[in-house]
Amino acid sequence: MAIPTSRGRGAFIAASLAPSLVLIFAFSYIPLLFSVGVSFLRWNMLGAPKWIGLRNYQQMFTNPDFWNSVKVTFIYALWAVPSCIILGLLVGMVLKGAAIARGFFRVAFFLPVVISMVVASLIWRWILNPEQGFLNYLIYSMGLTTPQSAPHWMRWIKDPSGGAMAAILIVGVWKRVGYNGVIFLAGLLNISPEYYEAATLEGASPWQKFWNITLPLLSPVTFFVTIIQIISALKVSVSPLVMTKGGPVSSTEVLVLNIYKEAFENFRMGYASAVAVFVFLVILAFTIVQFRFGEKKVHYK
Amino acid sequence: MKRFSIAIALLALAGVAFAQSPVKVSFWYSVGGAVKETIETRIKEYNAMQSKYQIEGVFAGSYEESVQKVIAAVVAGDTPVLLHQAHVYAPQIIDAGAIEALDGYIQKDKGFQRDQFIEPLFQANVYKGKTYGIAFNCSTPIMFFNKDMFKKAGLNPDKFPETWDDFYQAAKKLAALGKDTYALSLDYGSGWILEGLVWQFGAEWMAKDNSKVLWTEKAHIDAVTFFKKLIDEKLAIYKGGDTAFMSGKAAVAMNSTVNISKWKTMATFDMGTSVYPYQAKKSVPLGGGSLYIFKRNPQNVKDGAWDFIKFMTSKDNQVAWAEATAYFTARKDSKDVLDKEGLLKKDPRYNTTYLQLGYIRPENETGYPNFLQIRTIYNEAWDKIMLQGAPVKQTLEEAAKKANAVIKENS
Repeated sequence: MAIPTSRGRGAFIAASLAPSLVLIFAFSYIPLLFSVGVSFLRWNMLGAPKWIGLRNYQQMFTNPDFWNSVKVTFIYALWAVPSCIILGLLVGMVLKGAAIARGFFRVAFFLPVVISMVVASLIWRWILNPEQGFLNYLIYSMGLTTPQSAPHWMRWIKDPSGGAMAAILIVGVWKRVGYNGVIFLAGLLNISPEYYEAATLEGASPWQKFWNITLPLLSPVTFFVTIIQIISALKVSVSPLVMTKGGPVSSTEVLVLNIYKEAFENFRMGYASAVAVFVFLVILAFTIVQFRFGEKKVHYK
Repeated sequence: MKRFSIAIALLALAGVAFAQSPVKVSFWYSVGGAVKETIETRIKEYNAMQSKYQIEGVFAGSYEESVQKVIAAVVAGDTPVLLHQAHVYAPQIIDAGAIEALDGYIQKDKGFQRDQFIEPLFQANVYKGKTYGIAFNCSTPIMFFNKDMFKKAGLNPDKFPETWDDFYQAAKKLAALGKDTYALSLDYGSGWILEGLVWQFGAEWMAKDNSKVLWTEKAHIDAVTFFKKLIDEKLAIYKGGDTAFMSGKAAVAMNSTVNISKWKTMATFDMGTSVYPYQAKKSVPLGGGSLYIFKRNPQNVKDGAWDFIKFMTSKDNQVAWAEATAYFTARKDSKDVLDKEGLLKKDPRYNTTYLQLGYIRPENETGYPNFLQIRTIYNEAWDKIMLQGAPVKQTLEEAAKKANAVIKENS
């Protein structure tokens, strides 16, 4: 295609961007602004909305359900973020080092990323069913424990004291590790082999090489993965919705699920919007951190 | 003049064409599995036997999922014509002004036979003095029990304990049959089971004027404490699902009468049914669904919906319906047929739910609009008490406080 003149070029860029801009505005920005507006209302969708100022926010900060969801989301992130990063790095290194069937391993680890989260959650809900599930069947048939003496968390999706949380963490990590692995792999392949050759000549041990070459040179990638991982952990919703519906006893009712329940089960659109705005601001904060420091501070080249 | 007659002819032709294409009536329903197939069969029959209306059935998910879809549809102004929904959730939709009152249809249409309806089932659809729904698939929960386990425990397999105290005594024997064996599988479905249990202990759930919940009264706390005792003494398993009963891990399960048809083919043991035990008084919740017509539709379309309601609740179809699904039949004349030559005679287990007719109470008998929200809070309180061993009184007090705040917010 001929490159248009500078004026025509501007029009060309605008025309190319228009479709995605329209979509982003229609499905992201307008609903976002709408949500902010609704958060000042009392509105059940059926009746007339009523302006109540900041009352939804006031109610939110005094609502134990809200704080429970903050806690649940925090616990989820606290476990999911480090496990996804450490396992992701491990997978990246395995993928780099795999001498045979490299293509196969790449596909195998990346496969869960491509599967729909709903499907993945349904599969794991079955695997982690305490009575009929495959995992418990495996554990029992290996003779590790018996149904009578199994710990409470082995009731997985039906255990409010950790089991259900572990279940959604397993799915979350399983689903995410391959993605991080591939990003780490890209980062690892970017590190010039000369550093390692030099280190080998100096007589460095594999551990020293990892600690002094790999990790520092990977730090931009690690930083990126960490931020993306935190944001995705804050937005987790499908796995608890499908596997536990937030239960048992709200032990997996993460913030996004809390928004969903308040909005579409209790029809408290105003209150739900207030919680949504809260989640938005928290995620925005992490995004700003990434933009600010992502390129500048964590760089070793 | 010639032109005029051509125009007339064309109009007449158009009229014929119009008369021949049937009026489409969209219908959202909320029963899955084998029951769904029964509904689809009825729709096909209806569409084949007449050409005026075309019913287009859509499965809208569970009752709870369907409520959400309906409210979204009401907001968007894009409702279907006909709705099948649990009467327990109807007040919220009715209050939104979306549902047509049917009293006019009932009075005008002699073909409807209002008097043939079993009165309490019909009455469950009267809200603020008007009839909004027609009883279609009503049910009560009943007791299912494993007769083989009863025999093994030295209990009479033909006589289910009459009171909850009797049950407690029997439970000790049943649970003693083995390790990890329980007398009762305590599952609550949507929550209606729990409501029934506390009623049986003489407790109330909701104030008559919908001003507050009554979960902290002594009888209520006693009822919950009784079931906590069953859990604590390992006589009952909480949320064991169908499997706990089917696998012989629990001797008794409480569930809707609808499960007879499915469970009798699954059970590898002699499965009995019984009416509920009672404590202070006999009482069971009446659940199930009704048929509703949405207001925002042209009259000829609504007439089609009404015609289909009549078809679904006709004598013959209510017989076939009860036989296929184990739901109540909504009609007295259908019940007579079932008694004399049908199902209730062949398999008396199907009759269990009718034995409770004398003391049924609709799940949401006070017609509280935000019922689902309140009930979710209540169910969570039970979960906390039974799964996490939370103290009964304090947990119910906290839940009641939360529920009453919701009631206040919406009043």
